[in-house]
Amino acid sequence: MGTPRERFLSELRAKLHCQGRGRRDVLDELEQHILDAVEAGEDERAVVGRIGDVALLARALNAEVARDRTERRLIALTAVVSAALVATALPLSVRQHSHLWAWSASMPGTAATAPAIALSAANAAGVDTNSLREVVAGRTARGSSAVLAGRDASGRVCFTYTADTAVASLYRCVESGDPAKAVLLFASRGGATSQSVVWTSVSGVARADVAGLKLRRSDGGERDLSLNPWRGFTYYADSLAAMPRQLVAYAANGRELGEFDFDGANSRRGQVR
Amino acid sequence: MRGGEALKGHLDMLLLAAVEAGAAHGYAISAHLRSSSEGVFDLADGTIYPALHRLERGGYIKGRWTATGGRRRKTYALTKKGERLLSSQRRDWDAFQRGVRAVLSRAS
Repeated sequence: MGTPRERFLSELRAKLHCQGRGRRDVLDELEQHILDAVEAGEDERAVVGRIGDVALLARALNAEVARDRTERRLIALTAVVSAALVATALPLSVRQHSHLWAWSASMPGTAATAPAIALSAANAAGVDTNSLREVVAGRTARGSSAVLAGRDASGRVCFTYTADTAVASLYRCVESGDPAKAVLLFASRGGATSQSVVWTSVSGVARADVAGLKLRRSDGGERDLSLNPWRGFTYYADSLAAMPRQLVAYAANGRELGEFDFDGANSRRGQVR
Repeated sequence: MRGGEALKGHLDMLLLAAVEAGAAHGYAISAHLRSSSEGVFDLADGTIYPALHRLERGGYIKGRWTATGGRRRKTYALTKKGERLLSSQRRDWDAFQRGVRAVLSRAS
C-alpha cells in the first residue's frame, strides 16, 4: 500500500495529463512539499490530507497545462497568419496608388496602454514605444485583442497584433504610397487541439482605397465588416458556421481589390486576384 | 478550509506578497499564508500550485529548480512585472477596504 506520500503521488501521477518534464516537475514539486512539511515536524498523513482532494488538484494542474499549450499555439498561429498575409500582397502600381497608407492624422488610432509584450516587440523592431496607439480592439475567447500602430525611426507606420496580453506579432511596417497590401490582416485562433479550432479572432487595417470589406463564412453566409475612422476592422467567431472562410476587399466603385483565403492561411497559401 | 472561498479571489495577490521578501518554495509559501494570517486563511495546500504555475507563466514570478542532497527543489521569486502587479493590487485592495469600512461604519 505504501506511505501516505507514496499513495498520494501515485494517485496524482495517474490523473495528470501532462507528460515528460512537465509531469516530472509537478510530481517532484508536490513530493518536495510533503517532505519539507515532514522535516518541519508535521505528520505525513496530516500534510497529505491538507494538500486537498487529489482529483481536484490534478484537474486544476491539467487546466493550467492546457492553457499554456493554447497560448503557445496562439503565438504560432498568429505568426503563421500574419506571414501568410505578406505572401498574399496585392500587386498594384506605385504610380497609380500613392499615399494609400496615410491617415489624416500623423498616426492612426487612439492613445493606448500597450501590454508589456507589445513594448518588448516594439523595442526589438525599432518602433518608438511612445508613439503606440490602438487602431482597433477585438475580442478573443479569453479576453481581448488589439491592432496597435507605432512609428519607426524611418517614419514608417508599423502595426502589431496583441491577444490577451500574452501574444504580440512581429511589427509590419507600411510606407506612404506602399502599394503592397490592400489589407494588413492578423488572426488568432484557439481550441483543444490544433485540429479542433473553436474560435477565431480576425483584426486588421485597410489601405485608403478600400471602401468595403466582405467576410465570407464557412456556412456560406456573408457579412460586411465596418471600417472605423482609422480603417481598422475586427471579426470574432466561436461557432463552426461563423468561422471566416474568405475576406474580400472592394474599392468605392465596387471593383475587387483583393481577397484572402483563410483556408489557405495554415498552409501559407493566400489567394489574390 | 476557513476563509477559503473569500481567499480565492485574492490568492494571486497574497502569493505575490508571500514571495516579496525573498524566494520561497511551495511549502514555505503555504505555511507563510497560514501563519501570517493567524490561521484565518487555511485553504487546501494544493490550491497554491496551479496559482503559482499561472503566475509563473504570466511572468509575475520566476521559478527556479535546484538540486540539494539528491532532491530537486523549486523556489519562486518575484519578478519586476510581479512587483508592479502587487503594487497595483495593493492599491486596489486599500481602496476596496476603505470603501467597505466606510459603508459598515455608517450602517452601524
